[in-house]
Amino acid sequence: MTEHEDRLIRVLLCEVLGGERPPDVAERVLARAFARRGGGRRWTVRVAAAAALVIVVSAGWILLQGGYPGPRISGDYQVVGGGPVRRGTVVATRGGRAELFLGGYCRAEMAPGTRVRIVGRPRAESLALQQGTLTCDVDRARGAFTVTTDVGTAEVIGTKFEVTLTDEKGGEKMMGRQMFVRVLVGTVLLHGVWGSVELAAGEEAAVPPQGKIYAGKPVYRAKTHPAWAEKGRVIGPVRPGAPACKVEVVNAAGTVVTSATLAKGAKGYELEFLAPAVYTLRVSAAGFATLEVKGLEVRAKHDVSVALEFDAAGEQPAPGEKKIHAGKPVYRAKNHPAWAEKGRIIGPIRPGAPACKIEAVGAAGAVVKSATLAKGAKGYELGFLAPGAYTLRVTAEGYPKLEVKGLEVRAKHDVSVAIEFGN
Amino acid sequence: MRRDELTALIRTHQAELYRYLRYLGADRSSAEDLVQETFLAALQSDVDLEPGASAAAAWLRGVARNLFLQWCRRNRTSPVRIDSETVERAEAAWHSVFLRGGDGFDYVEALRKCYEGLPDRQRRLLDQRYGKKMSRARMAEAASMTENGIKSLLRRVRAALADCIKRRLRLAGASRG
Repeated sequence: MTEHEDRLIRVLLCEVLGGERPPDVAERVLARAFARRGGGRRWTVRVAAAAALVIVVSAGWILLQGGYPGPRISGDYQVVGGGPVRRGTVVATRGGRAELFLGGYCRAEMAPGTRVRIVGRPRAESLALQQGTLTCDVDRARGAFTVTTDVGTAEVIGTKFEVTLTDEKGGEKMMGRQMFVRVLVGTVLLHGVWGSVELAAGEEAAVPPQGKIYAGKPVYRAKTHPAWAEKGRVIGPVRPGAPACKVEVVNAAGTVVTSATLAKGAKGYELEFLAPAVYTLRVSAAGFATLEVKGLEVRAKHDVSVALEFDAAGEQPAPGEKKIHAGKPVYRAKNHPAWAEKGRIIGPIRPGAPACKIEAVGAAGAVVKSATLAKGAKGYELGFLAPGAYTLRVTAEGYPKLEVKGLEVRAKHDVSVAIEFGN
Repeated sequence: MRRDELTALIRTHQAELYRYLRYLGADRSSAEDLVQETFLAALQSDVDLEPGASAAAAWLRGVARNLFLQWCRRNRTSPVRIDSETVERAEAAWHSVFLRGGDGFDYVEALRKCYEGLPDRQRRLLDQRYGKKMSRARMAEAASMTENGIKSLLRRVRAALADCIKRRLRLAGASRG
């Protein structure tokens, strides 16, 4: 920490913890400024004239707009970057709450620490929630209203709901952002690339679902480590499709003894030079619940091998239950000279797949393209798709149907969705 | 500049200017005076300052910095010993550490979150010192420690906060791509 950083933190702590709020000098500056100019009476007249002009212009504008009101806000807020509150503006609450009024029919209460951008248009109001919690009260009969986040969209069907966007699960650990929606009155449609769900009053949902990390059974192997005769290792393979993650070895006192940060797609990990003892292996990754493998016994000249697997869907099928899993869609720009204005949905299929059918369903619900795959197929390709939103549907005998909604096909792009058939 | 324009300019930038002057080393009352002088200078200038624009913020900071240096030269008896070179270095750090191409909002938010994630004891310590403005001597007495012990402890907590803020901003930057 540099001296400047330290000073900055001290100043901000005083401000944030309430020990020293920046003073409001507006009245004093204005008194000094306009007393100096001696034009007190003159500016009063000017302000009155300006106010009259503003009223006339506003009335004309409102008449032209059919009386549609602009965004208004009250409470403890600040406009990020300054300026008036209008569409495109980002507003954030400070220590208290604030209320946003949109179009005369939406009221959004912003909890402390909430930040939103005002988007949308007349009678189709929308807020882009960047962080925090919004409680929204909407008169649906007068217009549409949505709250969007980078996770998904909550669209009003009923009247009152609450949306929270959080990245706080697990404090400083690398955890993903989640959107929590609680419906207070009416119905809300919640959708994103992960699919869609309709919530009724009293219901709540967190999306996208938290992924889970699974560990294989520890395997102990004697090894010759000439460099560390009295030490051992915790190692292991990581199954394909792993996200960036952190692997830590924690001792009995709860202290992290050694750790490794793995890049996305890493195939294995190795934690070395561990004194013989009993440890816990901790694995954390954004969007996944933290995994702890307790009771690992590290022995001198031995490896303990623990395999890791990441399940982004967060659901482990019950024994005997069959399920089709889809990976997160990955968009890649490609040069397809043959179809300059078209795109593709492609992807690998994990070995051992049964015979199955893969379909691209257009926004109107019609199957636009399909492919029937033989048993053991290692991949699929649905080409020549016009740009637009599609649903990928996968069906196979003995498996429940899988639908991956909200896939955006772009010209000269591939959307890759990995498919896995689980037992 | 009209009265309403000046009011908007003050309301938008006064908090940041005060924070900036305190960061440069001005005491509370001097920082308050210098913020007022900065806006009066803006009123007298012919520069077109749009409230909220980063150019306006940078121009006001420049004026505040010069006024602060003049203040330092006038108050040679002040315990604050600051020359133009030190102020330039502080300005560079303000840009690279605090603003980071934005308005500093992300940094303040990261600080808030990191503070909330501290253990209770450390949070209480920061509250006493920076929230309630307790002297180090009083804190030392309450905690049965020496003043130097409290000083070191506070510094360690601030260093932990600085690390946490960096990590948060790095992760936020990475997730934005």
